[in-house]
Amino acid sequence: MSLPVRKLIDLALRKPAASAVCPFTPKDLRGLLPGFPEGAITEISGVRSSGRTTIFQAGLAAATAAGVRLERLLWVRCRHDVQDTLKAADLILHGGGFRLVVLDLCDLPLIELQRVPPSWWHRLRLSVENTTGVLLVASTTPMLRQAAAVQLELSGSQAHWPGTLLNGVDLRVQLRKPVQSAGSATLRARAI
Amino acid sequence: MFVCLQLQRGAVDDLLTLADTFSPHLERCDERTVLIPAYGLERLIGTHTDIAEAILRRAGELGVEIWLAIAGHPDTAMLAAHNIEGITIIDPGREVEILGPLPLEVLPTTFDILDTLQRWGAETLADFAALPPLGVIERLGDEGGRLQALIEGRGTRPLRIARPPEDYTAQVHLDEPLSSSEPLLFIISGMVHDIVKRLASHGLAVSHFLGVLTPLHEIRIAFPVPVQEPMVILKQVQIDLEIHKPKCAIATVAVELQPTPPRTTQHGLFTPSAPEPAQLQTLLARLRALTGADSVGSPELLNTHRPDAWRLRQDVLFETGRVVTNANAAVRLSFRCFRPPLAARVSITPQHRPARLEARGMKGSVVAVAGPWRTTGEWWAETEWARDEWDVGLDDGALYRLYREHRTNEWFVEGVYD
Repeated sequence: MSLPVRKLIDLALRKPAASAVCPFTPKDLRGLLPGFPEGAITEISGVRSSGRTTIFQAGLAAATAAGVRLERLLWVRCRHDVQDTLKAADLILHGGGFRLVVLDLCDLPLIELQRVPPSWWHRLRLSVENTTGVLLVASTTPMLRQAAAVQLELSGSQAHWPGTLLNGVDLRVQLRKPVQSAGSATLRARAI
Repeated sequence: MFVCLQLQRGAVDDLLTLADTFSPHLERCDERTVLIPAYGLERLIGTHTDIAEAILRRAGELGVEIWLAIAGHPDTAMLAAHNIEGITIIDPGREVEILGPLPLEVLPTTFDILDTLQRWGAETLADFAALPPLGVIERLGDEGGRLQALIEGRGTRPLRIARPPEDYTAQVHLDEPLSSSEPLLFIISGMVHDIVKRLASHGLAVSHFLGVLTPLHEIRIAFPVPVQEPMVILKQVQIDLEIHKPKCAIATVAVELQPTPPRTTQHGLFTPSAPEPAQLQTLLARLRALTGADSVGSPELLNTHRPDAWRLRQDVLFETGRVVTNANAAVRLSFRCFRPPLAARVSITPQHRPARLEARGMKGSVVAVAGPWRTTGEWWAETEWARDEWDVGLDDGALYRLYREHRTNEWFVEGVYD
């Protein structure tokens, strides 16, 4: 008797059922992306100061209350270890009960991240599928490919320095995926 | 009907012995007062007068002096026993007649309510009982209704039975010492299941687990919420045994579970989901096993102005509740801290402003700069800081915060605006 084995291509082509979105995106971004899809992965990528952290922190703030409520936040620090980071994310997703999970890969070594087998991303996708949770993955470059339902790319941000203060940054957000609704938007992130 | 015994003279232990002679179910109201049910005693002894005389006789044999009251409501019996000397038997319907002459001050309530009643002109319990019940509830709330019901002996409540302290421990001496964690867990499993079953039969849950594996090994687990599922406890024990393996073969296994009242929660249909406390406890144990005990928790800001002062709170417990989302809140620029801060080499212009920055993973000319902002603090402690901060924009578009330590004159990159 043989066990059923899922091929990677089957996993990649398997589309999750259309589901609701969580309105955790900033107001100026809602024309482009009404919210993060439930039961799917949203990938946010960009270089330093592009605004990737700002976007996922806005999501955290919306998910916990106005402003990030720290007592509603579980933080796992994985000491820049790629394997531990992915394992911890998998444990949290399987644990259930969390509305929003953020996997922050921005400061991890890019070479190690590129060595991560695609099946790991698909495992995360299956973990979040058919739940009401949202998984945000923040990274320097897009890595998840088929595993991500939504891909946001941030680039070309413009800082404002009126006088002697950093007043804010105009973030340029491009929606790469889903392709049929691709487009871009600009939003202002205030520093003061 | 309930019998209340109020000790006037003698030892408290003798009072308990006296109550135990007539009923195994007794409530300790306070140090010198106990309540026992009278049902069943009627068939054994006779009328309420016979019961009272039998109790007094036995009290005389034990050498204690008591005041005794029998009433339909336990609190009414207690009120009478506290304030009326000798034997008081209150037949149903005669509560106000017997308790009425007592002054208002004997009521077990707050000073404010007593003051209000006295200002209304009530001096005795009979005066208070004569007031219209609806008007009393309207003005004094539920407490007013409760006090009137107490005087009139309306309603009832079950006794809070005092139980002797139970021993929720178990110990097994092994024939052969064990060094592997799997058979140890199997033995602990049987003990935990037995103790949890006993706890559940008493309506209790577990707050702490203590396992002593003789020699030289100890497992201590504190649960943030009371647990009643043996599998949740065992999962924690298993994870602990995987992280801290016994250093030598185990000859004796002793387990102690600390009892606590179970958790009660009210779930709502429309409240957002939160992790189940028992599952969350297991998840946290797994995460701590993976990344280390000090790497998992809820962040908490410390009460200081020192930059980047925070800690991870270990007793994570999420409360369910509605989250009010402010959809139109302005987006705030996030700051990503480098921990620890990166040592940097900074070139300075003749105006003493940063001109070029070099640090691990970053290099470039400064094209925009804001600052400096000088901050100092905690000069009385080892955590003293004194520094000048700058916000800088590099030619590649990245925005960093730099600071120069006054004491060492060294530069660091604290983090990046992202």
